[in-house]
Amino acid sequence: MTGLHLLIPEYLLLAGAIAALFIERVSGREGAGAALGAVVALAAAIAAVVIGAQGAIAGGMLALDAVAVTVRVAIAALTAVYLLWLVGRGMGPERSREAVAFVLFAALGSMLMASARDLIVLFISLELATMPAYVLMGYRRNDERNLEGALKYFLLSMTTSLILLYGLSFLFGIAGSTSLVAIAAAPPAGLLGTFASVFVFIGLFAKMSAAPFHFWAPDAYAGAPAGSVAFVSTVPKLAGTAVMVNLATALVPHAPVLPAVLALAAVTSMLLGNLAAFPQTDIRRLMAYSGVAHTGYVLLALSSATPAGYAAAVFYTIAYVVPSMAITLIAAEEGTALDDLAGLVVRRPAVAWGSVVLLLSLVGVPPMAGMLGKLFAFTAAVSAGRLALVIVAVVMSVVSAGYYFRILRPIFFASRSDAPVLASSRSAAVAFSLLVAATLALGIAASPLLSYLGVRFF
Amino acid sequence: MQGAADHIVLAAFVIIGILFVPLTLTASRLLAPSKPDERKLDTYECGSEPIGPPWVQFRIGYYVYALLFVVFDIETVFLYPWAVAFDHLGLFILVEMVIFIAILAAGLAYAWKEGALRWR
Repeated sequence: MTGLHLLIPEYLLLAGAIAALFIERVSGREGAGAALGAVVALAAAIAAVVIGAQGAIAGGMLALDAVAVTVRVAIAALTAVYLLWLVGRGMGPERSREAVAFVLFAALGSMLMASARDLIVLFISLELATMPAYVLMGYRRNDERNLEGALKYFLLSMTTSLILLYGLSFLFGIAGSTSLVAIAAAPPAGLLGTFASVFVFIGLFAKMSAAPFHFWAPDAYAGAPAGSVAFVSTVPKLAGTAVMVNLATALVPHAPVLPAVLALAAVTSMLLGNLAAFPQTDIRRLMAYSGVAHTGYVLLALSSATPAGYAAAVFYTIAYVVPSMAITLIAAEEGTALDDLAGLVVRRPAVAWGSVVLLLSLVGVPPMAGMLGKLFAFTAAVSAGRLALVIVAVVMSVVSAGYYFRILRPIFFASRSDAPVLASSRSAAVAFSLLVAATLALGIAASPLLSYLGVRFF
Repeated sequence: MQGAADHIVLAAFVIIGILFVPLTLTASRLLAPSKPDERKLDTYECGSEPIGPPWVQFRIGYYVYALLFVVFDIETVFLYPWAVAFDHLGLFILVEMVIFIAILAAGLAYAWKEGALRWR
């Protein structure tokens, strides 16, 4: 058991999650748990940067390569920003201290997922990441609609976990080992390898809400508090992309059809997500379909099955979840219907102009992060010979501008007299500014991150 | 031929398992005296007379206790193999076990503090 000190960020999150449950009672201050959680998550992010890439931990059950480190830092940092927002806004009528603990547990599971190199560790950390998400999605426990959405999420997520586990059990059967390294090195098992790999990836597609396994997402998100959706729909996706990268690396030799399966899921997700987002009037539903579409672009990058494509998928996921979290947080503050945003430019001009940056990044307009993410994803896919898919992706990006601008229209061209008066909160404002700044910074100064991921595109 | 012998044992086990239930049921039907009685159709409740319908609502309080019981249940699942192999495992696993129990204890302490153990 060597290298366990390299898991210090994970230990910090674990200790923080338990302490967050008790600190409010001890200190007697509302919001102390969220503040503690934000500090702990920030410390975890810094520790993860300092530790960096280290290779195998605990006999190869975990490994810290460039992808794992990038995702690990991104998860911890985003969790810190989210908890900073929670300090100011809380979970609406419910108290937030349990939410802080659940968020930290989910972040812990997500970070372990990103570095897992063993099927059992992978599955247990996946469950650790999703179990708290069930509670967060049903956080308004006296609201029937909320519970309905949470139940839907729970049942479907459990089913997909089982599908994933079924596939993983066959992988163990092929290699006689739960180690991903051993599975990658095992002799190809023909049809069984394809069967197992497709099962594993269908489970992951459902977790990542890729079409045609996305149908739970809009209902579950629309039932849940927007504050929960902002976390659940973003941070675990980072881990999901890292897992897909690790599994694709190990499984493509066993299942030559896998890149084609990824490409198929990519094209259905891009088409369905972007088109179905149009008629939505609830921001949470709209962002759910937008998430389906963005998962499509991630899968497009993955389907190239090259290191450049894998790095592009990781970068794209980061570039997409940052603005997506910020938009959902606006919905948590202002109301979840599109009309609730009416006149935001008059009430809160900084937030309104910030949301312009975020939405342009989601569309893919330079110089924001989303544009670079799309560029790298498309470059990787073209060099893997998927030109037709890239054409679909480009057309769909243009189409997506339509529904993202539907969010902007009420903000700038409508007015609302019955708007709720929102207490100003410095920590929520800082959190929002950080997300907008990150969206810009990832677009303007992406090269250090990309060279760290070991990719040179130009 | 060790593998083949194993399979024969397995097959025999499965076949006997499948046949056991119908054989015993048929045997008891053939051998037992049959005296149908109204009271024999009653719900079996440890020999005493059943009171009221079985579709009663259970106290929600039991549910919390069941959840807390699972905490100890899981603890035992991990503690038992550790205790059996304690001599080989050494200090590292001891520390790990203490951390594990501390996490569970924190969960229980939180439930206690929130009043989940109070019977209302």
